[in-house]
Amino acid sequence: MIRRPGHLADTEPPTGVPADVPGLDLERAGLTVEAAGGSAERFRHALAAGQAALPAAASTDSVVTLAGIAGWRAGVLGLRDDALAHLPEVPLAAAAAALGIAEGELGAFAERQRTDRFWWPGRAGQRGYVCAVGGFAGLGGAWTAPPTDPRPLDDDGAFAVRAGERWWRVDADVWGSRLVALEGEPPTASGRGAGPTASLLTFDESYLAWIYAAEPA
Amino acid sequence: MADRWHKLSQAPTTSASGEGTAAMTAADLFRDAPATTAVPLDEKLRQTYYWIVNRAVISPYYDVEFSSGAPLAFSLGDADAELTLPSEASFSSNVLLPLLSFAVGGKCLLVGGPGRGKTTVAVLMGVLAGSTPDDVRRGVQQGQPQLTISDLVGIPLPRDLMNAASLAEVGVAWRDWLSRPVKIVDEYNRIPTKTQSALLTMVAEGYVESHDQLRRTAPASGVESWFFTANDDAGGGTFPVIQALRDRMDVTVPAAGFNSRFLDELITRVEAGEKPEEHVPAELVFAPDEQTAMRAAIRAVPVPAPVRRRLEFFLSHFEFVQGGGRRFEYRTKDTVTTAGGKVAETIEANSGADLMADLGAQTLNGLSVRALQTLIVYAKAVAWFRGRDEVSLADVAAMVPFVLRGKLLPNPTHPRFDVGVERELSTDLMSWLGDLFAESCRQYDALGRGRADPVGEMLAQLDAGLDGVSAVEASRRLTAIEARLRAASASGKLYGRDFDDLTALKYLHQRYTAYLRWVEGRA
Repeated sequence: MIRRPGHLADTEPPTGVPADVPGLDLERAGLTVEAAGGSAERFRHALAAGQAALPAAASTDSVVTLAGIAGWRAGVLGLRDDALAHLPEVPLAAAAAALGIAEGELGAFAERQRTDRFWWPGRAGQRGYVCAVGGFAGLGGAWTAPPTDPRPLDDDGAFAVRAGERWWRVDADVWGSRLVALEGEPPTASGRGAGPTASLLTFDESYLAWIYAAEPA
Repeated sequence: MADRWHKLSQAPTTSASGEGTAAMTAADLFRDAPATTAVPLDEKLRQTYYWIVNRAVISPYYDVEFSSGAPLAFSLGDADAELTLPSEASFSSNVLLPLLSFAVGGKCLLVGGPGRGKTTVAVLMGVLAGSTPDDVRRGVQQGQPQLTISDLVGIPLPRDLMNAASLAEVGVAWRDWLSRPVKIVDEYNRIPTKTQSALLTMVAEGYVESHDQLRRTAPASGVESWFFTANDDAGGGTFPVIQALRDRMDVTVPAAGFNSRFLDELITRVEAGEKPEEHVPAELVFAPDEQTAMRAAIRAVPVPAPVRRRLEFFLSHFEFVQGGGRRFEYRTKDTVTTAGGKVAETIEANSGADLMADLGAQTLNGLSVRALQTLIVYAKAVAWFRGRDEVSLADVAAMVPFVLRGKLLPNPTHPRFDVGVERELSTDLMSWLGDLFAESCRQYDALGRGRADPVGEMLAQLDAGLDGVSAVEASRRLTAIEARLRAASASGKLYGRDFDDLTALKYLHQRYTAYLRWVEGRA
């Protein structure tokens, strides 16, 4: 089987068709999600799932907040802080549906996420593996050589890795990742940036780099 | 009917550091996209490129490659064919080069057999400049053996011919196409020689003259680009193209063949009776002030010193030929050519140098200043198009084949074009030129020219000025120059790459000698 880049938390994404909301351009929001590194399609599905759990009289502001959560769920790293901060402002059922997490687990998810951006309820079941990034260019990935020399960077959730002669920056969280080619070798992190346990793993014969977060025993 | 043509790249067409990780709020998702006018011009040009290759011209060829590190390569067949997968965004030359010519106001020659989309690409450029498709098509000058200067530029008004007392009173009805921002001349190698000369004045000088009347050809934006098409650029056609006109072609671009896997799209167009130039999205049209700003932005892209040095080294190979003359300065290919001699024979007679190591032996001529200027402009243009802050070596390497084709002529008697594996280079000039630049860079590295540049340092020292330089210091510098010449003399071998350095040393020697004379005379 050919392994491709992806997030293990994303195995059962929410689905649905979003309902139009007067005054909100959902198509524009999808394009913004896409431009910010997320998936417009996943955004639409996540928003639709959340909308279905919203009360009929929900305000437009609630839908906007829900859209932020759905955008984060669709892979926009920049929405993480905003989504976490506003999670309590939307009904529990709607937020859980947009994230594709059981209602009963949302509290724990929000709590753990504040200190560990790679946590989700199923992580222990995946032995701590969070996501695979990169991949072989010939199969639609980013790299033409297996990645090597992974190292954490100072920013939270950021790593550097070398593929062939080129260095890349990897930014990731539980739902999304972003790869940016660097002009040269980045400075080594002065402290641990990606939470207390997360690291980037590479393997000699794989074009994928894996983010791994050791689970406490 | 849904407009299947009107689809632009919504995502940024190139990635920048930090993109996609900057903090956002939910409300940001619903903010309006920047207005069309706010799209940076380089992004607009990239959107235009992607619209053309994805919607307008079926061109799944990526021959202008950019890679960080070595690209992944696959050997195919039993004749050394190799397919490479570049690791960075790469481009289709038969769209990219015309687009860059449009952006810089250049002259682009599209060559290739009939029916390969050469004129279609040129017409698209005209529409991008704001003309209607009908106007652009009407303005296409069709090269044919009976084309006269009057056909090309216009006619004197018959009334004035009858009444005028002098030529100055003869009004000329100028052809409308002359002041269009994009000018297209189809099959220019079928135009009679005399008419070609009139065309040369327009292309080279930017004006046209008839009956003592003069008309500037530049449009309001000041940016005019020319597109010529020809079925070949090897001297074929009804009339041979005059060399001066051929030299004015900034870039030469071979048209790509049709990829049979894209027949469905072709059938769709045939059935709908559609022409791509009639469907150019309005957002992609460049207003005159945008064209002016775009050209200014391209010219402002800096060429860093390490790239300049490699470019200098590349240029230095080609002018010198050992047996071309007696006086050192006259040992050039131009001396041989202007005296009616054969450069190839002169090169072959030079038994002292290694023909395989001497890159200059592979060419029949040197490079003109005009070709060099064009190379710099197009390297800046492609760097700007790729969203880079400065020109990189990759940008120069990518433009070398297109700018130097037809200008740097291969020496057919060189062993490289004779022997087995490289014989294909005698017909594939683009690959040869690309390889010539790559080999020059390899020599540059092997000779350590990037680590130490004593002649460059001496020139910089002089550039810093002679104010306050004592007679003793001037004498010390003269001694250093003579020492370098002595060292070159001791090596026994002389290559083109040393010729410019040696003549520069003589120049320095002259400047310091004159200065020393002046200082001593004053004392």
